[in-house]
Amino acid sequence: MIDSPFVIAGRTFASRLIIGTGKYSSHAVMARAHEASGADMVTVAVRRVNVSDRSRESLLDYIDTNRMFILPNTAGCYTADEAIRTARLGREAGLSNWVKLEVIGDERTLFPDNEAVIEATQVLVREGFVVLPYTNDDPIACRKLQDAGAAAVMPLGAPIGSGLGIQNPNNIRIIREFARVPVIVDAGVGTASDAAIAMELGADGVLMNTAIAGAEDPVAMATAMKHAVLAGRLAHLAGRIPRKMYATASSPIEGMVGR
Amino acid sequence: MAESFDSTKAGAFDSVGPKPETKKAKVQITLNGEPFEIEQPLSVVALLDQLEIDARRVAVEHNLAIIKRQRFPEVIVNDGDSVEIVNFVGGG
Repeated sequence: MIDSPFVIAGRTFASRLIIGTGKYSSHAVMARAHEASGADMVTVAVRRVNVSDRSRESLLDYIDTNRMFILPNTAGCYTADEAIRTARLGREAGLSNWVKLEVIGDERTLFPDNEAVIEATQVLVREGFVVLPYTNDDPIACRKLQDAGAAAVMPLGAPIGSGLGIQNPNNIRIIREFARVPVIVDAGVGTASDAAIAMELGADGVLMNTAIAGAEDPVAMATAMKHAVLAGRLAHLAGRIPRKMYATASSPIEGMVGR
Repeated sequence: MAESFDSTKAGAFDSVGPKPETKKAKVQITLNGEPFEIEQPLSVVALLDQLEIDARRVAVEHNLAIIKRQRFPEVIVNDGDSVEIVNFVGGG
């Protein structure tokens, strides 16, 4: 079974697993986890340089930018203006005009402010950005983002860092059915089966950070996630059996000894 | 007749000795949200140099305007200016 390539805005990615660079115990552990995951795109945040403490290691020293595509995010932004400003800075600091657009609506849940995300998407698309917006499992919000020119839509599975898995599988399936751009489940993945489920629902990719960085053994979990995304994708393409309420025997009825 | 010299009077010593040089005011800016002082107005590239920051790995905002890297040598940071220097850090 040959899969179609994973393409976003005309760029092909070898891996359908996208991972973050945050919350690792060290940059060295992060680099090993990246390697184990097989990912070829990672997200980064845009923050002030610590001007008084120059001894800190640079994140980019631990990422091979020839092999790894850097996707700056607008994490921590609570208004469209903040996110637009951060996106522009990220473009200037980096190597591309791609941005993972986040506009957060609430500090505890980190749920997206869809109205602001849509507004910021419109502005950034006009400025030539490739926008990958973080949104929720609302097919209408996803449609509006797509209409605004988003290069993909990234509905959350569950709140960021919650590890709750895919809270609304049917919505994710519907989003994939309606969307004309890639659908990447972003946020809430906790363990391998969550990633596999996202892919089985038809997602084109999965984005995660905490599930790997926060695991007891991030390198092992990164490996697990690599396999989970591959397994889930293959299972989706293989065409699963329908769910039935009762049993259908797997072995023949005829030829039973003693009957 | 010479005026009597009263050392208790204000300005008594004003004409005595060499004139002190006018003290050069240092340049006060806001850097990454905090007050910061530089000796004199500096170009962005000179400021980054002084801070030992690699210009290729950062984005710079000067008075809320993003400065393109090729303009780092020509944009001057003056007294009262605000500068933001950002880079990539770990994130999800």
